[in-house]
Amino acid sequence: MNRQIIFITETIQNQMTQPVKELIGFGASLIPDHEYQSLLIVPGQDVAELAKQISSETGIHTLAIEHEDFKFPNPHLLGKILPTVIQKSMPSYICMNHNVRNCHLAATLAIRINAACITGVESFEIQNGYPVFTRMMFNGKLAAKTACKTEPIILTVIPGALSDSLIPNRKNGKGTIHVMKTDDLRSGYHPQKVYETIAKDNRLEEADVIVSAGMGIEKEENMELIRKTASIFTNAAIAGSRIVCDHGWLPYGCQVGETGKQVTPKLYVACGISGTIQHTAGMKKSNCIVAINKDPNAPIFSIADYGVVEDLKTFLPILIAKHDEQKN
Amino acid sequence: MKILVCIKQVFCSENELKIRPDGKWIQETDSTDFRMNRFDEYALEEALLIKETHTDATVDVISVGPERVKEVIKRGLSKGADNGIHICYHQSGYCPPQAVSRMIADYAESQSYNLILTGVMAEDDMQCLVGPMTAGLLSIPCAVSVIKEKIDIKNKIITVHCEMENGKVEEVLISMPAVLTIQTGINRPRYPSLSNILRANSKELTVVDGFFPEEPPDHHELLSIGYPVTSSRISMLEGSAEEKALQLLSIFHKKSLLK
Ligand SMILES: Cc1cc2nc3c(=O)[nH]c(=O)nc-3n(C[C@H](O)[C@H](O)[C@H](O)COP(=O)(O)OP(=O)(O)OC[C@H]3O[C@@H](n4cnc5c(N)ncnc54)[C@H](O)[C@@H]3O)c2cc1C
Ligand SMILES: Nc1ncnc2c1ncn2[C@@H]1O[C@H](COP(=O)(O)O)[C@@H](O)[C@H]1O
Repeated sequence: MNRQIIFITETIQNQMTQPVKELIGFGASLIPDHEYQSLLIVPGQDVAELAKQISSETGIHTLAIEHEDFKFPNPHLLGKILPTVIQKSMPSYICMNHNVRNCHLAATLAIRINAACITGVESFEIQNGYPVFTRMMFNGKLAAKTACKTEPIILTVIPGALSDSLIPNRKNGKGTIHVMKTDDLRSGYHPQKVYETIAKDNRLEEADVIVSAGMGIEKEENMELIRKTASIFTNAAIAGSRIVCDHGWLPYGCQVGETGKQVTPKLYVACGISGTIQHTAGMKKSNCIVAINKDPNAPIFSIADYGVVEDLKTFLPILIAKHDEQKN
Repeated sequence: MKILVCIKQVFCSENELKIRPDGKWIQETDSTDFRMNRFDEYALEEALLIKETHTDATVDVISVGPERVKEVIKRGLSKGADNGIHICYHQSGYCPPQAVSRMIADYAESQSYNLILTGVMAEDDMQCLVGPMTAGLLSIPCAVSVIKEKIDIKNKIITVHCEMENGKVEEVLISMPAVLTIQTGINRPRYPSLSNILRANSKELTVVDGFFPEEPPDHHELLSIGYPVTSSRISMLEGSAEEKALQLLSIFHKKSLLK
């Protein structure tokens, strides 16, 4: 019998929040012989057209689930509706892009349908016929390998886990489209609106160099070291990790990462930043990354071009002094 | 109003983490440092702030884990929580989220809490699951990554603001009782006061035996943990601090980025 994979996408006001092509490619590679059927679930307020469009682009069967409370992401309500849909097709995998709301949905489904659930999947390998998933732990410092003993397996997959090129060319042509209206269902979760919080400020976008501070700076006074380091460059801005902004040492407009800004400067100097995926999601596409961290095992070194294992409190003053010496 | 805050004790991951010989978890020694999960500090603070405006509220803190987790429970009490609950789960190592949330939900059910707060994520296993799984087990709504909330006790409705990616926020109305997973930055966690530290030390904790299911409800197994492969492109600069500084300056100079 053909195996089943269910993909779930997220929409805001009938627009997808993340691309699904890569996710579909990831799912396909989970079943090496590609003998599987797939279904893409698209929740939204009015998403029949969107479902049709994805279906014709990817050849995948789609199910649009419509409800007025799906105008904005609603993992609670979706978690109520999906078990009956899922139990009908008994899938091997249920895949979604990784974000906190999808973790919420994954958790709800795992409880409702009593299934395995692994969030933040970065890669996988097949061992003895079974998939083994790799994900990060301990603030990104260690990678864990997890095996599942039962199906279905619910996964949230980190974008970038697989490249588009791995998407198989599916020949099954046009997928079917179904629309399910669920307006009569009530839940205790009613999204009102989505709004933006980051002020328009292009300093980070326009800078050639970003000198960024993490909790390794230890106290607010040491922000001065970051500012001084930035001043050795012709066109630099300063930024920070979320925790530095949470402490009020920098305004939130300077926060880089998943929930902050995405930046791509010519040079990103990460000072005392551990390098969890939530931070690196916002800066890993920088042209050149220099990491200064006193811990040789800090995860930031796994994405940096140049690594310096030093205490930034002693190292940055030396860097600044050497620069001043050379200039004079 | 009864509030329960879930707090986890985690390894200080800035320090060196030694992997156990069986490769399945961190090796614990007498000198291993632990702390309260950073996200839970904010969850606890939020509960204490709610208690300041809703004076009839009580705040309980709960932690699942071995004997040593009593330390974070005491820390919770010393910040101002009213009661501490320790769910004793002796098995050291990874405890899957289904098992943790089952233990928390079982206790919570017996106490009819109006509000359960957790952190968004535990810094050690980074799963973002225990909060919403607990809500699932109790069949109550959950909101994740909360950065602001307003409680309407009379109508049993909470207005929550949930952080999304790239600076977007979703505003949601959810009914009580509910689980909220709290994001950092929502408040500034307080330090314990001396009088509360003394009080916490003399306070009895409620101790509940964690269960050890024959067939764990988890469906998955942590095979091993290890250092991730580093990128092949990295070059680690060698030499004294001065030499490294000079190397960096020459790299910056070649890219014409310096003043
Ligand atoms: C849903 C969600 C969204 C998130 N979004 C973001 C986001 O957008 N951006 C973001 O940044 N984070 C985000 N986070 C938080 C993220 O998970 C990390 O907690 C955070 O990035 C850690 O910040 P940090 O590296 O500054 O601090 P830490 O993790 O505390 O790391 C400090 C680092 O400094 C090093 N260090 C300490 N002292 C020194 C010294 N003297 N010299 C040199 N090095 C030193 C340490 O070795 C360590 O590596 C998010 C989390 C969640 C759950
Ligand atoms: N062992 C535990 N004891 C108490 N609370 C926990 C425990 N594990 C997880 N939590 C709570 O669940 C949140 C999310 O954890 P996780 O799902 O492991 O990322 C944490 O921030 C805690 O509030």
